[in-house]
Amino acid sequence: MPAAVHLNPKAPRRPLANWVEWRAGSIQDPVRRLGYLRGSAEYWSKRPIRKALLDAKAQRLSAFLAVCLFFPVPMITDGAASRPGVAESASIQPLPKIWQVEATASHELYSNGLRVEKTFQARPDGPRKFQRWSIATSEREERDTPYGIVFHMTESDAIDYRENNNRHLRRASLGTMEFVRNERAYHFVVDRFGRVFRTVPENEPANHAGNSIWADKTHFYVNMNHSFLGVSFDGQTKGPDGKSTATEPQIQSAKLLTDLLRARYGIDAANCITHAQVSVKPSNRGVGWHIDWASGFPFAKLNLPPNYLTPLPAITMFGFRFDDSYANVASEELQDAISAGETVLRLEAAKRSITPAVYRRMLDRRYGEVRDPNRRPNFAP
Amino acid sequence: MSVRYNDGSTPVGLDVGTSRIVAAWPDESGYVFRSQLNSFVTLPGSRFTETVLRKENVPHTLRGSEIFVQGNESERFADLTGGEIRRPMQKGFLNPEEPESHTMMQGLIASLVGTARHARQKLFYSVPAAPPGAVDTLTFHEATLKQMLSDLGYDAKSVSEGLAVVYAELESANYTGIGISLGGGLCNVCMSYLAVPVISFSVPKAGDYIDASAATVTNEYANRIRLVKENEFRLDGLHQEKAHQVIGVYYEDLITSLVGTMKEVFSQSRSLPRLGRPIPLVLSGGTAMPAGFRDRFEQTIRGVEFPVPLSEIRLAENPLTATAKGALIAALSEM
Repeated sequence: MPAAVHLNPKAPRRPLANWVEWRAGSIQDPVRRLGYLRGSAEYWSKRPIRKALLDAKAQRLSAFLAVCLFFPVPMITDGAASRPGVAESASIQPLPKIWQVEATASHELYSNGLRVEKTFQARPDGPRKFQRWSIATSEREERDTPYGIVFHMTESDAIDYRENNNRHLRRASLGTMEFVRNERAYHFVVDRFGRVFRTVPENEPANHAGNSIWADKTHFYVNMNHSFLGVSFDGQTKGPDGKSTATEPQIQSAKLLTDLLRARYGIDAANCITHAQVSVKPSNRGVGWHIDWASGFPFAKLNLPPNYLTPLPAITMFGFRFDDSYANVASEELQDAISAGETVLRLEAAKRSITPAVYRRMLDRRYGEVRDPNRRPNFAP
Repeated sequence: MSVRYNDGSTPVGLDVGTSRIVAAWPDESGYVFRSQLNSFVTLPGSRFTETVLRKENVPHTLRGSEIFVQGNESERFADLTGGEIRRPMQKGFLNPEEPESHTMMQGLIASLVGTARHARQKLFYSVPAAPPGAVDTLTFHEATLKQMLSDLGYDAKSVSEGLAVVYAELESANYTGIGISLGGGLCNVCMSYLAVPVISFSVPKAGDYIDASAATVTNEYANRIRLVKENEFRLDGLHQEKAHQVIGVYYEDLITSLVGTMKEVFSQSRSLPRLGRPIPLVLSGGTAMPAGFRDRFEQTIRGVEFPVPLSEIRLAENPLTATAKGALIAALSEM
């Protein structure tokens, strides 16, 4: 290598870079966008965080944040990060063209092999209608088609997936379906055998996300029962062995279903996330009120990017907090995303020359504005 | 966003290249550019010549019994007098062997950008990345230019040449990609990630290398080779003339050296961010302009298993002004 090659150790690393890129993407004017990116770079070159983000893998999150808050730590950019980033879509295959092959009273069959059972579908109850907000203009928009998928886990009894448990498994599956239909809890449930049940019509809301927040490059979404489809795996996020009970047939069927829904509604792969990433509790401004799929979600097997790495919009845009109970169940990637979200929040506070606490109070007010139909919050960077 | 200060002035971008200095300003329809060859020639001094030069607005300096004709007209006067032009810069930096280097640069830059309207008027000027073993040269070069521009009243800041190309051309990729400026003295390479330069370096083989080498082989003036290279030469055809054949050989050598060095640097770097997706590469500068250059470059880099996946390899929209435009965009981003 030539002796005078200049290697910059200050380049942003994922997942912080994901956030910066996403934020920059919402700035239309290229010169303003460059100003934003250069300003961010100047900040992180002065406040190294790379090492801290790496250390988060090995440390308890609370200890990590304490270190972050009080000690600037040297940043390392050695290219040794092992996990792929959110935007790393090299292995993501383009969606195939999918069409309906057959539709009967009991099921639908699709050209990718997906079979959707309709035997537990709830009665129609009125179409979806929701608002989403433009990050660039703060305008509200009325919409009636879904923009993403929230993956859930029913967290029902985890019966061992063995041949001699067939009867128990089938009975448990039926019980789950009946409960889900009565509660209109999700749009789809994938049972342990990989059967896909539509439980709520796709053009209607389901009670799956509750208080929740997500954002993509251009818009953000609050309380996502209407704006996102709910797809649930029957089982537990952490079974008796500490791993998810999702079976291979479930994962294969979920992939076929995800492909169909993404193709049908033009859903961005970055908007396919888990309930644990979006769920919030407004009363204590906490993230992770529900923690299903806080770890172990097979994004890659569903032909999705590793979305656990996306810094939580609830933290970065509305200043929500997290606690140890959430951090302890989160996957390593999600822990990193939480850390990055906190760092981003501090970065934005520093750029405004205010303390993180003051900035958080501003974001609290913003959340109130979002929930008030007569207010217009400002999200411009 | 506004591109003007309250008094109507604007930031300025300046590409200080070995063979050409290009200045850029924003206007209502985009950008405007003015350029001067970064060269001069000396003529015997006479009142008549001096009057003609003044009437024709030709940048020049009268000193003692000599007149120094600077910029674009120096080439014509060199042709007329049958001599070689002199260069204030060499291989990307102020020419240490040229005693008039500093004075001529001052005159050329002043004739292009004039004096600042106010002390906050920003001017971003390009500097090369350091080639091997020339770090001190870069520091001196950068500081000297800053002093010249500060003397003209500007709030001057430097920007790496390759990075300026990224700023000019890769807005749609969020300023992530590789910018290469193939100039007269150096080939400057910069990989940028979200507008942050990750790797910058230069390769001391560029247009002047081709001119000088081909001139030696063909026994021509380097200046004449440069004119052939810029006006007639193509890299995508068979060459009948000897000069074209020789230029083609040295072009091949330049591309091979550049791609080889890039592969070596990027392969050994431990600072590469995990990009996850192919990134674009943009070629700019006068040396990249002959027809077929882009294709030949792509063929070579695709053939060496370059460690960074590339989505596209393209020429800058205007290779001669891309660096100045990028410097201007950097200045505008700080308004």
